[in-house]
Order: sequence, then C-alpha cells, then structure tokens
Amino acid sequence: MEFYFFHLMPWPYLPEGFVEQHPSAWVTYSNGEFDPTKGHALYNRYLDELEYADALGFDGVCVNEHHQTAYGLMPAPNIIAAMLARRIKRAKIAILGNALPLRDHPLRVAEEVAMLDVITGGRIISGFVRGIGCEYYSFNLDPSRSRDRFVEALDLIVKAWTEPGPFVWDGAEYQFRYVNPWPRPLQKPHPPIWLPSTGSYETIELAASRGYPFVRVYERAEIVQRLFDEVRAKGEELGKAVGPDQLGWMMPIYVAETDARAREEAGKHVLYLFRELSHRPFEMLVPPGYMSAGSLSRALDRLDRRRSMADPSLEELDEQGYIIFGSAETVRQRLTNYQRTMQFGKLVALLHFGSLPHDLTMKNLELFARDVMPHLRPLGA
Amino acid sequence: MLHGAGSASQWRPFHERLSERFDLIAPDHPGFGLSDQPAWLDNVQDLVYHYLELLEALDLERVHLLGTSLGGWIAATLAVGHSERIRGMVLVAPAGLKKAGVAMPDLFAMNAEQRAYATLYDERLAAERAAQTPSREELERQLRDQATLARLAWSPYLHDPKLPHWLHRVSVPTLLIWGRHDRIIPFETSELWLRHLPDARLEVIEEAGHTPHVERAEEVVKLITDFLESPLPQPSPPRGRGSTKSSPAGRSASHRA
Repeated sequence: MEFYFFHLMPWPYLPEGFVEQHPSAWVTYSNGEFDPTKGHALYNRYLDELEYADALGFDGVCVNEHHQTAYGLMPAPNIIAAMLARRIKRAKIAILGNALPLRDHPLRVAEEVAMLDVITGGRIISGFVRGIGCEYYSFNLDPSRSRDRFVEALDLIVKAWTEPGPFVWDGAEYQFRYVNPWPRPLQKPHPPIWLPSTGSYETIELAASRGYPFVRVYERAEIVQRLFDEVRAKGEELGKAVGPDQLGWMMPIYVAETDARAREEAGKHVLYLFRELSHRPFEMLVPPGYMSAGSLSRALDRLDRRRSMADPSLEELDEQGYIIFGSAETVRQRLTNYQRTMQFGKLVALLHFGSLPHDLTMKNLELFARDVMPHLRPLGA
Repeated sequence: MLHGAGSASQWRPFHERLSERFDLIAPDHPGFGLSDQPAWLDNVQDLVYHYLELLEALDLERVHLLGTSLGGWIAATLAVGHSERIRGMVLVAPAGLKKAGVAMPDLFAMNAEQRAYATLYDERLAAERAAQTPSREELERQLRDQATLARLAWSPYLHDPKLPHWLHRVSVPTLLIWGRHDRIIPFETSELWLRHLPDARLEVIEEAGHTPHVERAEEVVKLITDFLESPLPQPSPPRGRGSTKSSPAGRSASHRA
C-alpha cells in the first residue's frame, strides 16, 4: 500500500450562517471576502504541513486545482508543486490534477510538469482532470466540449513527452505546427498519469484502457467499491488486468487517542468541508452538456441522495465510509477491512480537512504515520 | 416555426391558432426534443444550413420564418445569408444580439424553478410551472436540450458578435415582438434589432416576459396574422442571379407538414 497526504488548502474563515445566506462557496462568493493577510499565514502553514509529511515518511504529497472558490486556494497547482520541489527531498509530489480543458494550450502543462519532473529528479506524479462543472462557469468554457478537449489534450501531452519533436498536431480542439517542448520529463516513458475521478463511464474506460491509476475522491464506500469493480471489469474486458496499484481512494481520515476524542476534536472541522465548503447548486456542479447522457442518468439517480447529504451528520459520514475517524486501532481496522474487499493499493489520505487547525493537523499526520501506516504497508501488495 | 431552447416538441394553443389560418411547420432542431443529436452540430450556422436543406427537401420557396428566442437567432442568421428563400420574418424575443451594458442572467446556472420565474411574467403561472415534476424521461430530454443549447450558446453567451455587422443583408420585412418584462433577453435589446434591420417594426406585449406567445397567445397570434396577411412588396430578386422567381403576394407558399 502506498500512502499519500492530500491537501485541499481550503479557506477556513466562512462566517456563521454562511450556508443560509449565500447560494454557493464556488464561483460567486466574492473574493472581497479573501483576506490576503490571513492568506499569507494560511498558505505558509499549509506548505509546512505538506513538507512535514515528507519527514514522516509518506510516499508522496498531493496538491490540487480549483478556481474562484473558498473550497481550495490552489488555482495553480504547479506553482505549489514548484514550491515543494526543492524542500521535499524524498517523497513524490502528486499534482491531482491539472485541469487540462481549462488551459488554452496543453503544451504549457506538458512544459510545466516536465520542468518539475526534471528538477525533482523524477518525483512527479501527473494527475489530469477535466475540472469539475463549476470551473466551466469560472472560465466561461463550453462544458459540452470538456470531454473532447480533455482526451485530445491528454493525447497531445503524452505524445509531446514521448516522441521527439518537432511534430505537427492537427486536432479538432488544438492545432500546433511545431510541438517540441523543452525540457522533456525525466521519468520514462513519462511521469505516472493518474486520473482522479467522480466516476463517469468515460474516465473508467480511459483508466482501464491506458493503465492509468484511477483515484476516487471521497464518496460512500459502497459506491467506491462499485467503481473499483467497474474499472477492474473494464480492464478484464480489454485484456488489461487492473491491479491494486491502479486503484486509489481519497478520503478524510483523522486519528486520535480514542474514537471519542477523534470525533470531538475533528468532527466539526470535517463537517465544514461537507457543508460550507461544498455548498453550491447542482446546476453549478453539473452544467448542461458537462456529462454524457449515460453518466448524467447515473448522477440523477444519486441526486436525491446528494440533496439529503447536503447536511450530513458526522455519524452518517463515518458509517457510510465518506470518512474514517477514530483511534489508530479503529482506523487500521476499518482500512484493512475496506482494503480486503476493495483491493486498492493507493491510499490518498486527506489528513487536513475543512477548518482543522494546524496543531491538530500535525498531530493527525504524526499519529497516522506512526501508528497506521507501518501496519498497513503490506496490504495490496 | 423555429422554437426556442426550452420549447422543443411543444404544440401550444399559440401553434394551434396560427395553424388554423396558415400552414405551420414546427420541427425540433437537431439536438432538441425528438430530433437526433448529430456530431456535426457546433453552432447556429450549422442549424441554418440544416434548415435550408429542410426547405429544399420540402420544396418550399418563399416561406415566412417565425422564430422565438434561439429560434429567432437561427431565423435572423438564415435571413442574413439567404433572404431570397423567405418572404418575411417574425422574431419573438430573439437571441443573437447583445446590447452593451444590458445584463443578461445566466440561464445555465438556473434550476428549473428559477428558470420558470425568470421566463414568465405571471407569477402564478411561474409557480405552477415550477411545481411541475417532469417524468424521468422528460427530465433527461430537458437536460439534453440544455446541453445542446450550451453547445450553441455558452460563449459568446446567447449571441453572435458579428450578427449586427451583417443584419443589413436581410431584405425582407421583419416583425419584432417582445415582452416588456423579458428577464431572459431584456427588452432593451429590441432597440439593437430595430437599429440594424433595414425593414423592421416592433410590437411590445405589455404583460409578458420572455415568452409572450405563451402568456399572451391571442394578442401575438393577431399581430402575426395581420403581418402575414398585409400586402407584401414584390420579392427582391435573388442576389447574383439573372432570373427572378415571383410568387403571389399574400399567403406563404408552404405546405402542411
């Protein structure tokens, strides 16, 4: 099992009554509410947490991309990765993920990730995403083009990384007369490409057919199980077995001295993630054209459930496997059980979440690294 | 009749009344209603060519175009390029032009309830519509229609920045109908149409929002009927060709579909 520390770098200062008074924490919540002085302290604190994970022995740390939202303060994940590149000496740096359709020129992503890979000595993991629906309002991009742009950008980047240039690229979405990015990445054939996913059919197919690790973001455990099964089934259908190293699960985890203490210390901070930070209308999360008919149908099936999860309790989140909170023993037990049935090999632990303060984050990292990681290491091998 | 984005496959009292006097053909645009979703559909010009092909396939020569909202944008674009194929145009709250400084709300960010209230002037009607629960099949179809609209109109939002430049090429008379309280495409936009169309007049429907043909059907039917039956000027010769095809003034020479 590989262990990654995933950070979302959220804004923890949304006011009392936010959900009632504002329609969304995304796109329309005014940046007038962002206090740069607080931001200065926040970013530097978050970077300290990521660097600490390197010292504690995590296999990697992860950064993320979102725009115009209190949910996460990393519109430019490659910048954060660059800040970590020289201070993190050993762990991998996973960019989960660059939102390809949001960049006019995929070659910029190819260049930036190649630079990072060369400078870090080949420690970059290159996640690629479409960008969630909200980003399409922020960038005024036609959501119905999102999938086509993503796949073509992905193909272009992989070719740019693996085939010496200059070559011509004449695609439906992108046309370049000279593709020849300097530098080329260090890792061969290229940095590992991961696909963080919310479970669309198309991403499942892509992950299985290309062997790219599929990482499901926090969700009910039974749905994560089902999606992993689907990726495996698709792999089998295509004659490409999907092993545990190709399946990842990202979820909030909190380790404390006892189960009760875990809930007490961190309960309200994780609820801040699921309520305040995730507050946005369905239409903003899923604009017209963003999902294919089949994936949309599946999303509609879950829509009612999602609405009822707009105000989840800590017990519900825990029971359903959105989060794992507890003593080290509880956390070990739950993860072991899940791993047995789900057979995933990459645990992407959101060990800071919501409004969790710095001291509790550091404690969480330490307890997880000392009392959970070593025991679970042999799983999924 | 070229429908608006939310109105595919709907035969309303408005349609029924018009079809009592005229031959009314009301297809679903490709990508809407019961029509197929073609891979080639990218923009309004694609729909214009599609409708030219439909006119050719039905052997229709001098029809009137009636377009609402998105349908108005299609009609106007067709008329810019091919006025010789049509007799005249009725545009009801058309999309296609955007007046500088006039805010247009984001249709794509609205849920069904918000859309109902934004579209209709009559709050009771809006509440009724908002309270409707579509079947799962209807819902999927609505979402598909919205997806096609996104493809056509996400950015630039609901307009063609070049259209004002070429609208002077429309060589047939146009009747513009607009609801005073249109909160989707604000009434002020009508001024822009009047400015750029060479031969157009505006009729304002006072107690109506974005769909006056729904909220004030009788009034709108009367205005359209009067317009279609008024004596028409001789059709201009098709540009660039020596011969002229003349048709009798009066009824449009269309066929019942």
